[in-house]
Amino acid sequence: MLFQTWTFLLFFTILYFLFRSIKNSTGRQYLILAASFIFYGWFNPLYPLFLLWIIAADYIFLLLMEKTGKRRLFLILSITNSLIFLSSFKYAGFITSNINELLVITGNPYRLPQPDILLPIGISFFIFISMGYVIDFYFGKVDREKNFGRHALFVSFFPQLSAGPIARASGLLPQLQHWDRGKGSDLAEGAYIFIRGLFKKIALADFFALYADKIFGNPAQFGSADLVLGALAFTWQIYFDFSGYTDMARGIARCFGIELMENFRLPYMAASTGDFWGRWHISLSSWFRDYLYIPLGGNRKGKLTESRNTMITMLLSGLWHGAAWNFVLWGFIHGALHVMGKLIGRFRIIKITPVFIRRIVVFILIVFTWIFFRAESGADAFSYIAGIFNSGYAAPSMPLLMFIIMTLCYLYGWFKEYGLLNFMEKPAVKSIASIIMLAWILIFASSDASDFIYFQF
Amino acid sequence: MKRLKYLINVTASIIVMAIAMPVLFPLTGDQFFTSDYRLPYNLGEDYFLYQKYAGSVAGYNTIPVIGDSVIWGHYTSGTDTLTAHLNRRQDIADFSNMGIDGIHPAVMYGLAENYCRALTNKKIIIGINLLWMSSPRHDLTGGKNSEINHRGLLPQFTEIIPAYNPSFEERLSFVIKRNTSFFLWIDHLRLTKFRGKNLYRWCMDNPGENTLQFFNPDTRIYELPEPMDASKFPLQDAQWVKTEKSLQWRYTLKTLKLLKEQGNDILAIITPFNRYMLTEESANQLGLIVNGIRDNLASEGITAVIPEIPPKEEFADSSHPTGKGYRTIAENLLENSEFKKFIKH
Repeated sequence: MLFQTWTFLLFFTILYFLFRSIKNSTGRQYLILAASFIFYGWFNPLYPLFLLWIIAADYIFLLLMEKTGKRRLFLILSITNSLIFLSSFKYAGFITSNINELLVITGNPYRLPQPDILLPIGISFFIFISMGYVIDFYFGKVDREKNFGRHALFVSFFPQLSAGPIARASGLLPQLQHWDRGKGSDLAEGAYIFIRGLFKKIALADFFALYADKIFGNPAQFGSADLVLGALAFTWQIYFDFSGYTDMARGIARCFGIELMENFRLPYMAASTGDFWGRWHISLSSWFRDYLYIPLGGNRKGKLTESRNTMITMLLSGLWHGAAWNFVLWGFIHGALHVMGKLIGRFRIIKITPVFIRRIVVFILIVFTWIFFRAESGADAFSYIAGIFNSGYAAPSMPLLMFIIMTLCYLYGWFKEYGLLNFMEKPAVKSIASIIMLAWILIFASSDASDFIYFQF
Repeated sequence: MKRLKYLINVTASIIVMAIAMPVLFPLTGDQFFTSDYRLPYNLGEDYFLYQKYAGSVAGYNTIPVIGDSVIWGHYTSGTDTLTAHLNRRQDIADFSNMGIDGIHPAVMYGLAENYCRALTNKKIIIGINLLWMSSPRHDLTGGKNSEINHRGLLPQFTEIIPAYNPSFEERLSFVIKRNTSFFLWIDHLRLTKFRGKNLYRWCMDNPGENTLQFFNPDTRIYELPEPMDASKFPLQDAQWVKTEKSLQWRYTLKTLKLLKEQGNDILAIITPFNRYMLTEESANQLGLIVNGIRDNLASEGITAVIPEIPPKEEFADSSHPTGKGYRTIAENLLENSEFKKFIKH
């Protein structure tokens, strides 16, 4: 069930009225739990079974950690279970095809059969939510949720189920434990955040997608200007697609009185690659920071270890996004940029470079990294980049309106970063903005609901 | 409190906009409902316009003729349709062409149910085109068919149609759209002003064009399709669906009853089918179906008029007459006593 559909609106409306009409807190929790399973099962009736497996397994592991005192053993079993589960669905095909390629290279005639496995939507998200909770419990950061229903609700809470944000137990569980019916102001704020997300997805991301898909679909056909603009279009598409989804998820949760964590903070205004990861998909980057980078030693054991830890974290972050080498390459490039950024950051010339120039340079670098993310393979990405520099100039085929909107988006980022748009937080301005956004969506944008890019992860 | 104000502001503005816009700007195109008016081809799915047209016809002293492309006049200009030929006779009643290209009986029911509510206490003529019973595929009782026209007007949740299997979302959006004047108006705006495309798609298709051109009115003219050569009509063995099993016939009957319940006086015209394209056996079956339909309608208190089959050369395909064919049918109807009785002032 996609957020931007009539089906979801109907689902939400019924659910909201039921939620408001139930006086008992536990009753409301079970209602939302049931709704979450219906929501997930709407994509495919088998999906809730996968979800239930992770929920039940981690509930038992947490229970055993507490009751037996063998915390380390059950932590390892829980993580192993999660990783095997994730690998079976997400990486089995990737692993098999790589083994087969190795067999080809070594001249071995044997081939493994390519598995045809259903990849449940949002599997990486709910597994990471659950895994993070188990690790937090292991380190004593959170208490175990004894109520199975509430534990299940934490992992399966429908707004964040398909594509995050990857909630932390410390942030979400207490809200679920003391859940009231929500206030009218929550509904108002939630509605605004939702409309903003809807606009980002339908009016912006889906527009940029038309051009990005055209260029990336056959890059050899286009000149350098189109290739550059195609990369830029994808840069904005993925941002608006994902942050639009996050806004909608946060807006829906807010309507029910729950505050989900922020996932984006003007990422294209980052002044370094490290800064970028503090602004882009914050719930994932902070997850990797807290549960991988820091346990690996972080920056505490010298520069070399820090660089190694950064590279491992970024490579795995790339792999998290997709079971393909281009995602690994994308992670590698981000890691390398981050390490290099740290190294050259010590030079005086970098220190005295005005921050606005650093923002522009980082933005250009990020645009290039997205080429690896969007291309079908690493080789395609390299030939795309080669095309930018080698293809002759031809008048670009990007519509002028798209170019104007893209420029406005970038300018909006600058103004917002420097606090020039604070007046937009006023309720009157929000009201006007909401009406304009809805009218624009209704009149000018497409009425076809398209999937979100991050659903595949 | 301020946030609540936001919610109230937005909700109120949306409601006001949704109610006010279709009222303040009822017709954004340059349409005029003249006597030989018919819905422009490219506005065939503009149900907002159709509803306005129905409302306008309801106020005139004319007899609306509702039907599919045979009534609309697929192979002819607006001045050569059946209603246009009937209108040439100044001494009789005026007729309004309320046909829509590609509309089949199951859809016609949706059209009548949703957009012909204004037609009450009038004389109404319904064109029945038996093409829709000429095979299970046409009848929508065959396998899944992804080429159904006007699918949004089909019953979405009240009946399972074998050929129609959309997603729940599609069904729901159709139901919401056809019951919300504002969404119909948005479609109307897009179809009349924006060539039926959304702004983004238009920009992609015309990257070099000035975006403001998107807002220019659609000036496309309907290009008449080439009729088939009568000397080369292929002989067909139509797989007629029996009346009692036909979904299309059931919906034809439902449409007639619905309009009758609105206080209208109904006359059905079984538009001529090109028998020259049928094998003898198939033509005989058609004859039986036509007789059955006439008797069936009579039992419902509805008169059915069956015009004579025009000459072979006056057919453009299996069910559509040429302009000349329409003239022949019109002349034939004007000699028909039951027809004359029905249209009498």
